[in-house]
Amino acid sequence: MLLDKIELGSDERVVKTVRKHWFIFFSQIIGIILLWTLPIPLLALATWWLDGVVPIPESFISIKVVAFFYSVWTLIFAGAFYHELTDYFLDVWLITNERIIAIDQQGLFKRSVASFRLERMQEIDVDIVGIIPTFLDFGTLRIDTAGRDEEGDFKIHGLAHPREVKSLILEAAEERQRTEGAHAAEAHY
Amino acid sequence: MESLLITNLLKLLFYVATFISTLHLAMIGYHWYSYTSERTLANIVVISYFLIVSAALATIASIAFL
Repeated sequence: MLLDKIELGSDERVVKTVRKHWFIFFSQIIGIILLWTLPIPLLALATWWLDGVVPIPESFISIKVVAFFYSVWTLIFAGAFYHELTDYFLDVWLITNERIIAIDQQGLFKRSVASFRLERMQEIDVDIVGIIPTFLDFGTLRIDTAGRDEEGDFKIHGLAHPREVKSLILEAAEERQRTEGAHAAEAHY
Repeated sequence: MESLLITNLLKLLFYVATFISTLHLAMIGYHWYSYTSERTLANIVVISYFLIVSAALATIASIAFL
């Protein structure tokens, strides 16, 4: 389980789990699906086009040969599809009432988990660029934190509903500041 | 002679495909069951991938070995 591996504090609770927009996944798999189905029209076209022009050996277009190579083709593209699905689904940001945990899944053998406390957040930006991102409401969310250089900033591309997520993070940060302030006042008195 | 070579090549392709697919399926399963809390979705993903891989490998085997 995801949350079993990430230890949350005693008062910490997950406010929201955010992912990239479905369109990002769709744009990655559409090529895979098109390439997977490509041999069918190509074979039909080639058979129709070459019929009578070039003598095609019986064995070349036998159902066995087609089934064999299409099975290999299917294995390759099924692998690519599930690879992309895993990559998409496991790339996630957990917003808790104390911190943000950014999980970046890159393929099957690289996974990075980074987190920062909300009080370290300095700036939060949203970029929505282009027609499709504007209509479907997805974009880049970048968070500058204290003690990190520009390359080390937390950034997620293609995030779904980035403005909502930004408001949520800001609310959580304000709530955190209030709680911290109350604790500090209690400690003082 | 040629026919034997082709048959052996098909068999080799089957073994290689089985090895890679099994490894990939295992890795996909590991990631879904380890890093997600949505067990139903993980089951759907892993089982559907398993079925696709099994069907493709069965087709390859039926041609390579028969």
